[in-house]
Formats: sequence, structure tokens, C-alpha cells
Amino acid sequence: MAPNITIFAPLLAASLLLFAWNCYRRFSLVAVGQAEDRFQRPATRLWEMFRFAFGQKRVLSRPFGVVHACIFWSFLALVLANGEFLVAGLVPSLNLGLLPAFAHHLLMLVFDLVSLLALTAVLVAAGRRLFCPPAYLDSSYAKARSPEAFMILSCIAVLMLAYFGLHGALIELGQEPAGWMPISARAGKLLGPLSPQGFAALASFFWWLHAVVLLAFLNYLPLKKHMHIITAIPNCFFKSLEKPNTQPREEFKVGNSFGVGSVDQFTWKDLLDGFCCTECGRCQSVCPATATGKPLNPRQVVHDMKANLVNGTMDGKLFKSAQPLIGSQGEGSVAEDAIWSCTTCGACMAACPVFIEQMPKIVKMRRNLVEMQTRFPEELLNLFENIEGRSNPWGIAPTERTKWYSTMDVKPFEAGKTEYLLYVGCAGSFDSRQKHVTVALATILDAAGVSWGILGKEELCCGDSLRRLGNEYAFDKLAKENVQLFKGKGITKVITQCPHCFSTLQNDYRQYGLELEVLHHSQMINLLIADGRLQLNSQVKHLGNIVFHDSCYLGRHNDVYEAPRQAIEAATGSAPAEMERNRENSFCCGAGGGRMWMEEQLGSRINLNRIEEALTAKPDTICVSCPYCLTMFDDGLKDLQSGKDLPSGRTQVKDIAEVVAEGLRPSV
Amino acid sequence: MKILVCIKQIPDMESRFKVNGTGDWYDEADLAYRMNEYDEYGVEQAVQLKEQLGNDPDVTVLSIGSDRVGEALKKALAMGCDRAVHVQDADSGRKSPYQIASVIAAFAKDKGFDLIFTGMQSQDRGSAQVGVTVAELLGRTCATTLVDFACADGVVTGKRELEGGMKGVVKFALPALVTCQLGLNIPRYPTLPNIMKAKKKEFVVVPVAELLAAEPMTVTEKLYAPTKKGGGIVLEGDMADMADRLVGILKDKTAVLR
Repeated sequence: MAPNITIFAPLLAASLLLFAWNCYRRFSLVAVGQAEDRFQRPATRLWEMFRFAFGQKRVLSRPFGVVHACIFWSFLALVLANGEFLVAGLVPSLNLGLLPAFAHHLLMLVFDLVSLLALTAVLVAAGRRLFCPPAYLDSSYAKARSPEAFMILSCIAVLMLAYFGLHGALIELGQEPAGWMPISARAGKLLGPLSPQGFAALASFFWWLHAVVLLAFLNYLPLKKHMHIITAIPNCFFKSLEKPNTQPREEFKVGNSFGVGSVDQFTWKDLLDGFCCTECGRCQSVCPATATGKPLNPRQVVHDMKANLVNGTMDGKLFKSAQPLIGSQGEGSVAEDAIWSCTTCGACMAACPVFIEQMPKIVKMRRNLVEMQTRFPEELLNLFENIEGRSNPWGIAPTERTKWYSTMDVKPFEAGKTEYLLYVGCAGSFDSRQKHVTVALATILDAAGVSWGILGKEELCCGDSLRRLGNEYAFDKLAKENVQLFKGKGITKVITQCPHCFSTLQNDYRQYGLELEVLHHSQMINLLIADGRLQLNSQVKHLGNIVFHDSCYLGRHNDVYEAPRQAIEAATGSAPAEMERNRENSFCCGAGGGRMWMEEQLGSRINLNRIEEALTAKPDTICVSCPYCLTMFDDGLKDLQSGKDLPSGRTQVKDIAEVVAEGLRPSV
Repeated sequence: MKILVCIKQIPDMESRFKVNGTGDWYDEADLAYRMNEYDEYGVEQAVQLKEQLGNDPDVTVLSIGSDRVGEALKKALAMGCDRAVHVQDADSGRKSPYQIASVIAAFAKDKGFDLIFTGMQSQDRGSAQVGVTVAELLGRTCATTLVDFACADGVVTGKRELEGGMKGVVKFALPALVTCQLGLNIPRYPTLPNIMKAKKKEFVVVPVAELLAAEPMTVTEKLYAPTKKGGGIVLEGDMADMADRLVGILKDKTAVLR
């Protein structure tokens, strides 16, 4: 089978040139972004790329991902087949027949089988989009049944069919061995019976069909969402190796711009993310803001960033946006109320198969709104002034910080004398409900004979809310004060009862040169039980059926899933019940990312969504490990249960420390 | 146009106050400080006026006190004032309102300020005398407790808060002094670039001795916490019974049901 080179060669050259030009245009847009080092630890990066891109680890975390994996792995094999196809189209003698016969035959068999696999997979994918599309495939800018999706799927299907047609005809012509290409051989039988001229004409037809569709598809890639074929694998290489919630520091110099207010202020990696999104909708399906009808959809944020970039123009090396990045101008702009709806729970990032970083982009835009424009929900003015003036979100007098232990003997931390600092945190010090948790934890530490102390009135807010809300300047001041305080006191080991303090001390302060061994109280309690240092007097039974809720900042952001569960099991003798969305799929309580301090006026309430899920397990007690979760569950349960006659009794909320401390009561 | 804003740095009102050793003011240890709320309205109004007049007015912000008042002055600069004057006085807390007003008047008298903003009172001492005394000493028009402010062609139209929910509209020509009340505006949260710029703005330090000539006309004799009165009464029990008892108490001990 020798195509007409005089037609094919210029066609191929033109296609390749056009493809290169379009890729160049796309990547020069990415180069508009700010510098960022995403090359450190290359061996780790290569391994992650291997696992997540070639291994399709995240794609396969959802059942339907197997269809994508089939197409992807088939595609990898067929890159070789199509490479041969194009080369042999120019120089027919350069083909895989040059390989030893065994290898050549094996490849023919593989190509034949994976082509069938790919064809089946695209048919299933098309069927899903047609007959049972999940809601999360739909967004404001793309629908599950979008013409683009069907065009891409048909392109792949046509390529596979043309492949079978071509090789079927060649087999019928006796030019290829039927035994190694069972599917093509079957296809050849379906084409015939025909004269040799007829099969030759068909072979020629399928060859050109394959060639034209292949080259057209190639040139379609850089233009639309299917560009992920080119960008997704490198994006897995460039994925953040840091904790997702730890954004880079800012340099506070006169003349600097802060945060991201225009698309060119994103880093190149942020912009590359835009070209990796294939609109699978997984981030959308897990986002608590989207689920409760708020204006935020993480996928839309990435899309708008990309649209803003693509709609812009290059004036020499200078990029000019056609529209503001933050605003209500529709596609290409991200609305302010979308930016403020984020709880920074990180579910979007944990769900994205190609490691797009939606949440950090939102925080970067918040930084711009707060620091450059001072545009933020009015409730935050009080919050900022409270933390800046009194170092706690409620604005309570700092002298009240030690009131929680009025009935206990608590010692100040002294290096050399005390082993652990109990960093009580603002909620543990000031929130009347959380103070019970602090007392429970202190009782546990004492019972286990732990050497611990506190900072007392010297303790400051960790600044978590400030940082997630984009008030990086105020966070920076607070972080520096804390780091100085910790270093000055010689603190190295810290226990926190708040996952937000936990994550901030452990991850964020590392950027300020402070390396601490931070234990969340669930880890500490577990450790004490495992070591036999904490002996419970009785098994806790009266809390009934316990269901556990994962805090985002303990679980998803810091991978602590088992410690709180084991602590509950140790105290009650049985593992807690699980909600449908648990561990890395846990659903936010609604208070992270500074949302704790804002009104929730848009959509339905996130905490109610989660509590309704928890109540399906018919729990007597919902167990949490975070002060924010405690407040959100307490408030939500009050709303749901008040004034109702509940024959099975009321569900209560407890922190794990309270559950374990119950076991310290003298046995009756 | 030249504008002067007088601000005071006061302790956080959430703090727990203790009487100092000499028994005439509060103990300054362990207190966190901030800008007096009413003075913040003054800063905001001055900056708004500056913006309204195309950035033409030159806004000076002045504060009297120890070194810590520099923080409050820096905040005012970050909010948009052009220059700061720190009248250095480690013992400003014990100066009488008249002395403070005299210092301000001594500073302002030959500077040609068209408009002076002060808070209607400080949150700590609460004498509400400084603003009006400055106006008196300078022979200025003065309007107190403004909750609305407009300035056009050298004429100020203001709304004053009066007793019993009444408002009074006043109209007067510059030069003048106004004191600011809650409701006048919402003070801005400074942007980060403005915080940065504030660090480079003119910051003058003047020892209080250069401006203080007046002797105190009043002296604080003694500062003490209010004596504790009897505790409250908590009614418990049946609703109807509690209502009856409440009516009885109101009749016996108050004038509301007589």
C-alpha cells in the first residue's frame, strides 16, 4: 500500500507546521505567567508522573475512569502505530516490517487488539454522555452532550474503524497476515467479497480517511480541551510537591503588586493548568460550594482563567487582557462572590486527575482583593481588626486567653522542664464550647503523665484564617511574631487540638524557617494509648452510635485519617461508623478558608448538607476533631432538631478528646 | 486646602483595666492600643474629602503621646493622610483636656489649616472637650458630633446628632473645626501598597515642651472602679407565677407601673 507521496508529503508538512504553530501560540501564552520553580526533586516528579499520568492512578479512583484508562493506554500503544503510519506514508520502506518477524507480529496483534479496546471504550463513553450523563459533566460553558465531546469521540472511533478497514483490505489482498490481526481479518471479511481492485480501492480509501482524520485531529488538539493529551502528562510532572494549602510567601516591597488581579500575574504553572483541564467535572462534583448552589465552581475558575488568557492579545512581549480577571463580566472573569465562596477544603485538588491547582488560584485572587483593593465581605473587616489588634478572631481581650483552666493547675511552657507545648489555639481559649475540649485534652495529658505547658497570655493566633482569606501581609506579621516566640522559648514539640493550627504551625511556618514536631491531639492520644501510658477506666458506651467526620485540614490536607478513628475505637471498643463521603472524599463542614467568619447568604448551607449525610447513619453522637467542625455541626444540629419531637433522641456533637476523656471517669 | 486631623491612641476597650499606682489614671501595662474610634472617622472623612477634591488638600495627622502613638499615626498615613506630627509626651494621659487642646492650638495657630477634624471624644477619658476647646482657642467655627459631612466651594453642610434621635443640619464656611460621631462613615482598611507608601511619608516629631504653655485648669483627683451594687434577681419557676412576681417587683422598686 503506497499512497500518493506528492499529495501526502505537502499535506503532512503543512499539518505539522500548523500544529507546531498552534502549540507555539498556546505555550507562548503559558510563558506570559510569572516564574515558579517546579523542577526541584526531579526523581520524585518523574515517579509521580509515572504513577499518576501513565498509571492513571487518580483517573481510576472513580469507576468510570477505567474507560479513560483504556483509551489512554490504547493511545500510548497506537502512538507507535500512527508514527509508523505517517513515516511509512512518506517512505514506504521504513516500516515496522524491518523489525524481527516475531516482534512485528506481536506489535500487529497488540495494535489490532487495543484498537478494538479503544473503539469499545469510546462507544461506551459516547453512550454515557448520551444516555446517562452525570450532572457534573454539565457546566455553564460545556454540556455533557456537547458537540465537541462527540466530535472527539467520533474522531477516535473513525480512526479505529479506518484502521480495521485498511488492514482488513490489505489482509484480503494477501499483503498482511490474517493470523496476527484477528479483528482486522474479521473486518476484511465484512468488506468483501470484492475484486482485488475493489479491495485496493478500499485500502486506499481507508488509508486516506485515516490520514486525513489523524492530521485533522492532531491540529484540533491545541485549540480546545483535548490539548490535555499534550499537557496532562507534564502537568503531573510539575504537580505541587508541597502541601496544597501552603501558598508561597509574598515579598512586601514598595512597588510590588500583591496577589493575582490579572491573568499574567499567575505563574506559568497556573496557566498551564488551564490547558490541562479536559472538563471531566470531578472538581465540580466534590466542591461544597458548588454542591450547595453557591456561585463558585472550581472548574469554572480554571476555565475563566484560560478564557481570559486566550482572549488576550500579545503586543510584542507584553500581554494585554481583553477583560478583567476578577469581576462579573461573565466568561473569562471570575466573580468576587465565587472567590469568597471557597472553603479551601482542597476537595477539588484531591479530585483532579491531572493535578490542576484550583484552590491556590482562588487564594491568590483573594490576596489581590484584600491587599490591593481592600474589597472583601464586610464581616471580614472586624475579623481582620480583631486578629491584628487582639490576636484572636472574636476580638476578645487577650488577657482572657487563660480563663479556660480556672479549675485546673496548668503550667507555663519552660524549655528543658516541659516536653510539649499545648498550643491551645483561639477556639480552645475563647470559644465556650471548645473550652470543654481543651479541658478534656488537658485531663487526658495529665492522666497519661505527659509533661506539657502552655504559652498562656503570650499565645497568639496562628493566622490560618488570615492566610486562607488572602490577608498575607497580616499573616506574615503574625507568623514572624509566632516564629520568634517559639524559637525564643525553645519550643520543638507542639500539641494542637485544631487542625488549622496544626497545619499552619507544621506547614506554613516551615516557610519561615521554623521546623516543629506538631501532633494533632488525635495523634497524641493515639500515641499515649499505644504506649500504654493512657489507661482508661471504662469503656465509653453511653455516647451510643458514633459517626466520625473528617476535618479537611487534618485529613485531606495532612493525610491524618486513622489516628482519630483509632482513638475513638480505643475509647469505645468499636470503630466509628463512616459517612458515605469519608477520608479523602470527606465533605467540608463549611467553615474552612475563613468561611467561619463570614455570613453564608448564597445557596443552601454547607453544614446542613453534611449533617443530613451524617444523620443517615442514625448516630447518637457525631464525632469531630476540629473546633470549626464542632461549631458548624452544633449550629446545624440546633437548626435541624430544635422544636422537633425526636423519638430516637437528639444527636450530639463531641470532639474525640471528649469521647476519650469520658473513659477516664471512675468506673461505676 | 490644608486639613488637620487630630487623633488619639487609646487602649483596646476589651482590655481589663487597672488603676495605676498614683490612683489618678489606668495602669498602662499589658494593654493593647489602637486608634480612637471617633478619630478614625475623622481620618476617613479627611481622606474622602482629599479624594473628592482631586487630591489637592494636604492632610496632616497629629497625635500626642509616648512613642507607641507612632503606630496610630502610621495607620492614618496608610489610610491616606500626607504627613504625620508626633507630639512627644510620655505623660499625656495625665494632661487635662484643656492642656491637650492648648498643645494642638499652639501647633495649628500659624499653619493655616482650613479644616480641622477631631473625634467627638476619646474612648478612654471621654471628656469631649478637646475638639471644642481647640476651636475656641483658635477662634474657629465649630460643629460637633457630625454624622454626615459634605463640603463644596468652601462651605460645609453637616448633620449633627442631637438628643432623642433628632438630627440638626448645619451650614458654615471654612475655616472650621468639626468633631466626628459614629455613623459618619466606615473607616477604610488600608491597601497594602498604601501601607508601604506610608512608611516613606513625612513624619515629624515635636517635643511637647515646645508647644505646652498652659497650666492644667482641672486635675484628676482619683480614679476608681464603680462600687458594686447588689446582684440581680433571677426568677425561676412557673411562667405565670414568674410574671406575677415580676409585676410586683416593678411596682415596688421602679416607677414604670405607677
